[in-house]
Amino acid sequence: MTEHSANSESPHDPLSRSALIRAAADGELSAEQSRVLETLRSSDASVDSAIEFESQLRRHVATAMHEPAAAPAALRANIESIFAQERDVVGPAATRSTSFWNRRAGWLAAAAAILVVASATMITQWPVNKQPLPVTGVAPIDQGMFIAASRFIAKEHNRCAPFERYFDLKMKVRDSAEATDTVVKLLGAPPTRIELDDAGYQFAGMGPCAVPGPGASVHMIYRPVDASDGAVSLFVQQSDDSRLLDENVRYRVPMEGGGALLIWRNGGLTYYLFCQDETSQSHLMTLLGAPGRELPA
Amino acid sequence: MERTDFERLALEQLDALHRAAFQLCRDHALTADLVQDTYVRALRSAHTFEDRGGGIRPWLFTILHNVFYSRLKRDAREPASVDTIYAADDRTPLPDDAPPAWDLSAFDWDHVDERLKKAIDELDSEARLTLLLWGVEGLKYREIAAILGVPDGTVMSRLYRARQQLIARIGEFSADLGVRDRTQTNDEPS
Repeated sequence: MTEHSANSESPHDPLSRSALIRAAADGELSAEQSRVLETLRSSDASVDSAIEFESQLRRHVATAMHEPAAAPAALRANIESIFAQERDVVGPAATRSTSFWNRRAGWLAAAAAILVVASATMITQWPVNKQPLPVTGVAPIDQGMFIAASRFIAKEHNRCAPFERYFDLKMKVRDSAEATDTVVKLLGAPPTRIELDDAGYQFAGMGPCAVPGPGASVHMIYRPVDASDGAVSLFVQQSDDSRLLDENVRYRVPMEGGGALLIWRNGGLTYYLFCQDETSQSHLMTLLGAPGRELPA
Repeated sequence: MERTDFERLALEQLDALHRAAFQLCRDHALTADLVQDTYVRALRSAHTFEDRGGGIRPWLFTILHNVFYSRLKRDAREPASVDTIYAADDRTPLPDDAPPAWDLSAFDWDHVDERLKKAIDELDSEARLTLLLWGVEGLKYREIAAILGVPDGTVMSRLYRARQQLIARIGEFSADLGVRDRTQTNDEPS
């Protein structure tokens, strides 16, 4: 009868029977191990079948783990899009374009692809408090969309706030006047305000985004004027349906890690303000014309 | 290396990277996100890539692994898992490995794959990645060690533990199939 290793030896001993068998099956035998194995084979007829067993195990592990065989096409397209965007960023000057709109189609495709990944991800992990949202009694809020939007915003803010590569890729508009025009073109209405210098935050960039829910959206991000930490993000989304949010109320979503997301609707646009500093938050909401009445979401 | 060559080579590894990421995440959305971040990181570090004979794949696996554990530490979602992983990076004595109590020559591999998949699912993420690099990618111990950033001996330990667990589960299966159980015979190891 053939038996697998019956050793009580340390598996760290490279000359132990089991280590020799595994090394032989894996093609990892050293010269010394080869010599010792030959000696063992001559005295132990079960060694060869034990090696064959380990080899079979490896082959079957390979078969069992060869799934999923191919990456999803959407993921491949998204990565190709990132490569293409990066080419625009680091490519020769002659191929660069200062106009965001020249690359709008590609950007929207990238944003859509990011949305696919991000919205699938948001079901579990991102840093929004996961307590059930109480019913406010003010408006029939779609709470599922509310939660999804909050998670998406937290993730996008965290990706852009270091002002590194993701920021460079996403925030193609760096001028606040151009940002105003862009919002009008994309969302069909001007935002209440773009510049937030009076609250101590300097416009850093804007790019199209894909906040969950109906309507196109943009993301603007601001640096503190005093160069301290704590960027602020303002997302603005088309919102033609007044049933989604009560215009007389702003909603507060506490975020894990500090700060809160403030959401309100004004003039056919929904605003999502993410700021970690409470004092600044109050000032920002005043500047942006947020409703005075606040409810927890 | 030209940028277009780098991109082409990197994209050729997408399926392999996606498989490895899935073994770490076990969630399709998280897997896609991890792979995307890996490519972003790889692109950012493209100038540092040197082909030392193994091509771009090991380098991408290394980035994937680093991104995954950076996220784990950042999110502290699986602190126990990380502790477990690194606590297992050891040369401390392992339990004596009892032999399977069944006849290897009588083993029917044709019926083992589903059980093997379930057994693999029960392993921790680091063990699964190590198994994948060893089994699917066919990498050497030293290549796996370089990717995971651990000594060769740690890779051997992880493979040893993983194989022992799989063998144990296969053993249960073999008993289900009626493979001759050594404990029920008078046969003794030769």
